[in-house]
Amino acid sequence: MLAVVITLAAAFTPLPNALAGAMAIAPREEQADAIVVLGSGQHPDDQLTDSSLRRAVHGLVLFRRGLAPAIVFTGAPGPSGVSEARVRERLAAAFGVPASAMLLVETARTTREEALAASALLRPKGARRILLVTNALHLARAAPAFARVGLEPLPAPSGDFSFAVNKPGDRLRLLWRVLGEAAARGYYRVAGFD
Amino acid sequence: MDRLVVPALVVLTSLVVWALGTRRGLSSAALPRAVAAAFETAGVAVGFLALDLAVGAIAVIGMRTLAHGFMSFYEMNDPVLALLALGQALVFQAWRAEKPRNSTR
Repeated sequence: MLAVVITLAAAFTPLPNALAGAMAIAPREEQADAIVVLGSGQHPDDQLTDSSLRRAVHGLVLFRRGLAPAIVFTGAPGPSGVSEARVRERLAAAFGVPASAMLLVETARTTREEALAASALLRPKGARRILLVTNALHLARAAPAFARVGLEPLPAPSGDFSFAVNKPGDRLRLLWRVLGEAAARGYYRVAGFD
Repeated sequence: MDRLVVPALVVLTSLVVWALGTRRGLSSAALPRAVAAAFETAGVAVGFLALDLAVGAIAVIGMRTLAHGFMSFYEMNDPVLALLALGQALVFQAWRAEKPRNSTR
């Protein structure tokens, strides 16, 4: 009975929207040393997933706005051996970003690994202040993870999905994302990653 | 108004099937018990989903820490898991319904 009530409440009321809004981190898009675009996967044919593409495009927009002189793309290799980071690099090059401004992290598979790899890449170059690009829910976990490894992340949410959805199925999907991210935050807290 | 389309469809088809069912001899008095059973099955499905996710999370963490392999938590981020959990619940409920008959053997 409780399961049905919760499901109906999630599907037909703005409860998931409110939870997502409460968990999300507000943008702070200011001048930084680098833009770091977190990975979000690719399909077996090396097509970027929707969220990966949205993050890459948002990173490009920030770069075009002149908010940082360098842009870091993360993303591990897919089944073909080509990394998500490399696919994004090609996209950015097609939009006129010079190769000298792009850095790749191709080995990291988790947010924690992305933070460690980005720190190892950027700190020796004197870059600490970064614009961190991922969705607003993930930012609440990713930003502390990047701060933990000595970087100063500025949240730059990419809007991978809307918080204003009002169809029942979309609201259930949003609640699923909220619950998943809440569980992941709990795991990061227990593991000492943030 | 658009948001009412899905629930309106469900209400409409439910009324049609209720009307057809009562004409063909199904009892309206048994309907509340059927709804309660459906709610119970939904609850069992949520329980199976939680169990599937918990076991999956333990497997991922175990693989990362003990076997030093890698599996992403996002592998479990699949709507099919909810459908399969519902299937588990339906089978489990049917199995429970068989229990009295089997216990007499």
